Amino acid sequence: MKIFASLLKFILFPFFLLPGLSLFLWSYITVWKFEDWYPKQFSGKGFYYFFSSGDYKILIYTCIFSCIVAVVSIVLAILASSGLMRMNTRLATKFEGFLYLPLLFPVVGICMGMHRLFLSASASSIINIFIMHVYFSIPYAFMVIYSGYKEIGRKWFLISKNLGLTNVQTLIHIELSMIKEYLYSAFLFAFSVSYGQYYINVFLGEYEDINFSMVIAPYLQTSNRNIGAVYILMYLLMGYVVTSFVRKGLKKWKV
Amino acid sequence: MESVKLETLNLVLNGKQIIKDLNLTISSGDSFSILGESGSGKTSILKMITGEFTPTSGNIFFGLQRMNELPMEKRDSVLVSPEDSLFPHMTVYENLTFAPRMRGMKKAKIHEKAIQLLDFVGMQGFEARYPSSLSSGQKQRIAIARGLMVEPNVLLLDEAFSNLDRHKKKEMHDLVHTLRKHLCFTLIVVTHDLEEAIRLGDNIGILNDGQLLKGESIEDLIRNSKDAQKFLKVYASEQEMKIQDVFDILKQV
Repeated sequence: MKIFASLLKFILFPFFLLPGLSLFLWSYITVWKFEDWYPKQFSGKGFYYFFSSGDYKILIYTCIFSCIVAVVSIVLAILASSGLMRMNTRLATKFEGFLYLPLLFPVVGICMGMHRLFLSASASSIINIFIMHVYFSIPYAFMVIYSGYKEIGRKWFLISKNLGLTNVQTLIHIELSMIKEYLYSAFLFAFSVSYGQYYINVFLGEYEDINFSMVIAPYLQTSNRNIGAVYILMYLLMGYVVTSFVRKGLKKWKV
Repeated sequence: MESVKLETLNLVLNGKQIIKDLNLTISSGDSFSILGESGSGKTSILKMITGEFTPTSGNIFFGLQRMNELPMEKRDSVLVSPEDSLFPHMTVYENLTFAPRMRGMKKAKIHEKAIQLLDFVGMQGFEARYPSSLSSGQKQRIAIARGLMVEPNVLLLDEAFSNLDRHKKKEMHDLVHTLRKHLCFTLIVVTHDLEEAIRLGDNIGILNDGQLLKGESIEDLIRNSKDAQKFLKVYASEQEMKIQDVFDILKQV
């Protein structure tokens, strides 16, 4: 099994490494013409442009926004999962289906419908976007967290109650401690869904709330690969830093 | 003084009558064993006492207080089951001290009690160990100690030692006797092992078709109840014993 895992890592590693390496190279290369074996012009203007244009602020804002969306989605998913786990199983299966519904509908269709609703309610566009981000992140967070709850079952809940613990104490000290790995995966999913959202912000934001995906998109359509590569590299790095930070925090968390 | 009183208790689950008109009174500090076949509803009685199941009709009293509507965490009883029930992410010491800490007991008292109970169950030096590194017998010792940490009036053992071999079982029975002598709690034991039922209970009842057969004593029960005699005959044949062996066990214990 260990050999198989090592082999898998050995095969999969280049798949992650090569795109990263390519991005890193392109972030310094300005021209690499066909038939040339190696690039001949290098420049740091991509990075200079990224920091001087102030787009790094949008990246930080997007990250914070996605973290908040992920945390809210996880909290809601925890409440739903723990509630379903404590319910009768037959009813729980039906409710479980409802929570996956956002996955079935296309983002564009939902956004157009919601936009109309939000306009008539004259709600602020940031709140609209936030609600829609959470709406699309919840099914992923719920899927992961509920599978964690299914794994631990009702046993620990009953044991804790039997020892005199309240529902909240059981949730925080027993259940969440036991599904720590699932919490991280749920964060990863919810964060990624929100972090990479483009349509929701374009449809509902009215260019008042700009996220980093909206900033990247034009660069991907131009021939300026250098700036595009820098932006994607920074986007990936920021995501990696945030998720690593969350993973370490969860690992250290003890009752 | 009465510690536990079950009054005309009935339980119907999925249209099936599990428990029929159960009446049982156990005095404070006494122990009572419920013997029955697997699936006869023994565990359901304990689950009604802890609050996991709500009786269809009837009353549960702890002393003078009616328990029926009281949530599980507020009942003065702790259930110890045969499965691994120690929190796997906590050490032995944390397992013992966690519930009293959450219930607001003072730290010094918790520590003192944990040390005392570890001493009683013969598990000193295991404080920093995780449950995964303990044997089944050791886990059950800690589970009982953890249950007693919250100072319950009633300790419920649900086939708690069924995973242990005969020798270890006997050790655990002696341990429960020692703990009862020192801590004076009421004990209700549910088991399908006749020897265990007699060893742990001051009196025993036999659960047969949802009805609890009981007498003044085990001898009285067997002498006067034809259903109890029939049950023991079936029990003997299921355990591949002769009925005389069953009576030998009764005499020995």
